Amino acid sequence: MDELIDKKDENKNLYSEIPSSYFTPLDETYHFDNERIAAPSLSFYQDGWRRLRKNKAAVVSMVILLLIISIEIVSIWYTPHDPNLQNVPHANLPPRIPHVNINGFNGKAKISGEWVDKYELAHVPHDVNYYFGTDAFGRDLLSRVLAGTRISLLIALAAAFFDLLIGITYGLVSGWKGGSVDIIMQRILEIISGIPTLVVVILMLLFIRPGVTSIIVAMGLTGWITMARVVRAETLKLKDQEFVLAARTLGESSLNIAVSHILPNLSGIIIVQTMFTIPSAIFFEAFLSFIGVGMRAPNASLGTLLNEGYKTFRFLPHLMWFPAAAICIIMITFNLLADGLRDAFDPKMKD
Amino acid sequence: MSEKILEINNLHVSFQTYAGKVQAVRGVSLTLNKGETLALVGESGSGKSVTCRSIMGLLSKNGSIDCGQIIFDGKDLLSKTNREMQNIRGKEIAMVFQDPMTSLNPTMTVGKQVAEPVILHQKLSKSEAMKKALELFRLVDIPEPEKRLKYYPHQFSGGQRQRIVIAIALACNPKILIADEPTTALDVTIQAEILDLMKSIQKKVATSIIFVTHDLGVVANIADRVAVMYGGKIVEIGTVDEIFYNPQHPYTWGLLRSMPTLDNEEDSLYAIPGSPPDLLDPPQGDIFAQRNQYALTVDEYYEPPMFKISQTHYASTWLLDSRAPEIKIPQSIVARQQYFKFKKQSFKDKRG
Amino acid sequence: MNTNNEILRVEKLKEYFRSNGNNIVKAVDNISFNIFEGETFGLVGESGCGKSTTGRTIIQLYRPTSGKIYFNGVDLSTIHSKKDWLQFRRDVQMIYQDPYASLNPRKKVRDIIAEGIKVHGLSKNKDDCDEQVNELLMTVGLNSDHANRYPHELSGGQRQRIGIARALSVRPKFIICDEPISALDVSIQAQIVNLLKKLQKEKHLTYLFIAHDLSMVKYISNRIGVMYQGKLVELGNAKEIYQFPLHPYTESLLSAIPLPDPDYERQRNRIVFNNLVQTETSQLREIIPGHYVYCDIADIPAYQKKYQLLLSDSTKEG
Repeated sequence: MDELIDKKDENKNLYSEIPSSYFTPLDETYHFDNERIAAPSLSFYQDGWRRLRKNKAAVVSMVILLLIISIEIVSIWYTPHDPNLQNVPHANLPPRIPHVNINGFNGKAKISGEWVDKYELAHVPHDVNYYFGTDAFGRDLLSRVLAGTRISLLIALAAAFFDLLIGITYGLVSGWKGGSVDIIMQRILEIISGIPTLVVVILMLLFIRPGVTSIIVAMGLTGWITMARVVRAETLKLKDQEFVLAARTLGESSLNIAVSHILPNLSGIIIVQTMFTIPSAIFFEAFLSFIGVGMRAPNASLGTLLNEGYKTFRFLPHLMWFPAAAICIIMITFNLLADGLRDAFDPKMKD
Repeated sequence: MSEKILEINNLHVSFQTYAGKVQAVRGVSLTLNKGETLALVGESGSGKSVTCRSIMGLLSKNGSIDCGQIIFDGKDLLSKTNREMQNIRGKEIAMVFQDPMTSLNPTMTVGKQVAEPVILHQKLSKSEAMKKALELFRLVDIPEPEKRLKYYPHQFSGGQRQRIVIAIALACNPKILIADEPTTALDVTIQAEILDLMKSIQKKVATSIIFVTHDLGVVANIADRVAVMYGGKIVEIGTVDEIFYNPQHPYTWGLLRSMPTLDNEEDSLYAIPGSPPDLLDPPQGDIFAQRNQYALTVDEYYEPPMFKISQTHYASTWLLDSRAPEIKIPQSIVARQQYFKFKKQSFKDKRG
Repeated sequence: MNTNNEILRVEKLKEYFRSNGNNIVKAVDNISFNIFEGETFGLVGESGCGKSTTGRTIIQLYRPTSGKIYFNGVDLSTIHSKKDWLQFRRDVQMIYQDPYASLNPRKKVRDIIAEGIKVHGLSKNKDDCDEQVNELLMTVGLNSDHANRYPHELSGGQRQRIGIARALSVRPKFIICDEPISALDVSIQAQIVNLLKKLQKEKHLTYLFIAHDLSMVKYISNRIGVMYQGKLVELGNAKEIYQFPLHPYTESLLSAIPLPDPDYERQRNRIVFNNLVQTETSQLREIIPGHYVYCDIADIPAYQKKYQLLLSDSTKEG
């Protein structure tokens, strides 16, 4: 044990500089408020944001999404060309981006193995450029992609809204009430979830013309199921937590507890679930439009663009690549962001 | 003089968090002798669990060992790679954790879990390993061991699960068993059984035990030597008799006084004021000074070194410096110290 | 302590739960006891004995399967009007075990403490409410800075104090403490227990103190009930139970407590308890005035003899 101690002699030399006056009882004021907290205050969202920032993929996704949304907002008033204006002489042109001289993006396309400048063939003026090329009717693809993405995002937001409204309420009521109310509500849920959304959409075509309304109604009727299940599960867990019991013993009414205690603690799960809902809504709309029961031509939506594009994929690949890329980017970034948010809000992963 | 089996020298461990660097262990030095039980006592934030995990090389990702050595079997464990540590973990040094519910894999039979380290480290065949598992079940007093080898963890009670965890830890006859609050989550009667079990096993198998706890009663029951930890340091270390009957550090006094005993007649229990310290920004002097009613001015500026009280007993408090004033030691502590003198005297009388 | 005024009476309380189909778990199995105004009644036992369930049934978090609970003479099952119900919710409060789960992580401390005040309309306006909150914080040894913090920023001991402040906010008469110190550090436990004792004197409170730490229960309680598998096996004055334990389970429990005294530990012999002896007619019966044991009528003389033996042993030593 000799390493542990400073031998008395060493002691004398090491600590002899301490004046003897120091060996008096400590001033009372030193026993300052030990209950003071040093670290800064962090709310749930601040803490979540701090953790999200560490996730590079999520941050990049967020930046990309903000960029896309900004562009879409601007596109309400300005697009390079009118998305619905047909210009048949300029049909089926490949992309031409000024100052970019890569074959495939400079107005040239491969016809029978040779690169041919189609813009010259169509006598397109030099200052007119179609960044994404044109379709069979001469409509600018870039403008159509912008318009289509805008519609898709709007539909997705509307779907998310219904998701929140119906899903949260249903799940909260079912979980909080429990007992027979819960059992009945869950059975109803199971029946609804058993019906494929596609069937619901097709049935609705009997009453509503295909278009934005029909898609939103269809998704609103069926898309809330996952949210309801997730909210119910979390509510069941929270119901037995001691802070909820404490609210009950204080005499708080059932409604107040559900709204002011349970709901705020669900926000993390709700945000994450919504973030996952949006890309699947976008995809679903694209799917419906693709098979022809969603948006109809000449309206641009990502689904109709894909529909038009795949028919001529072998000859005019750009007509499918661009809308496909748009959908992929949006879905991937939403998913990465949602993943990041889920990790950021997860209490077990606290550092 | 017993043989030294583990030696920790000046260990410093810190963790990187969003609010800054937390100094969890700030200069811990201790030795563990062969065949003895050393208790590490302290409250949350004292650094006792982190010290144990450092021995095993099980620190979390944001933890780092800033300085120090852990000498086992002639080599510094801190300089070993993870691969080399895997050969030591479970085989030479084993660990038992607090919560028996989460220490066992719920999807594996307990027999398999006990046999696992044996197969891994001792390279025995499955059937031989199962025989060893049966032996171990008998060692830890599990009734009907042959039948129960095939049971799953959920079919056992909390106390039995902890026995199984101990069996797993002892599977390869480790030289050191580190038990991190193994009885804290158990009922008092079960705790008593487990403590008796560990003592009897130690007699049979001669393992050295490091027992981490915050319960002084448990320490008095099971320990040969005790190290009291506070704020990432050892504040007092000695044999169990020295610590309980001749405590020298005000924190040890505080702990002893804040425990109600069955014959305590006082009207008010002594409570150490304040809360456990913030290790984000440890003060320059003695970290216990804020809560120490016996603090001296020097405690504000200088950390006290370890003062020697006997060959085996050390405490880190300026009260032991030759220049320190006389203080009024609390009555219950004085009573303990008188009992200690009485014991020593009668021991001397018996020998002499 | 007014021994004549009974504030709580529990009669033949049963709380059975159904689990896994047809299995019935008898969490609380026909217990009866009473608590007098101003005293601290300790309820001890190990995990699964039903002490927490008893506490939660008394405060009506669960409805009893059968049996009666009288608070201030009123049968709780007859309370129907909203006014009477809210009054009950003011009179009886609870302090919970887990300082981490008993506070809403999304609410600031101020809102947590103010909730009770708002529900019962105990403040005139926002300023009055804030003042009451600050006063409560001071009463429990914290200060107004803490009101703006979130629970996760506070230590376990500080959180438990917030829980106490919350319970006090509605000016209760009777507080059920459900293992309030089990999750705290040793040095903090003493702080909280001292605080509870101080508050009891200042505010004339009655406590039901539920815990498994026997030494602490004995320190704080006037009378104690020992529970085992849903039944009360012994009940009596705190000091009596510890000095003269009569029921074998109580003996076994006391003999298992480790004390911070190595010499005592070296010679302590643990008494092993195996099975509860009971028959159709077993119930809590009075052996000595105020001291009850779970047994049959025929066993009473033997227990009385045991008590006399223990009494004479202690007077010999003392």
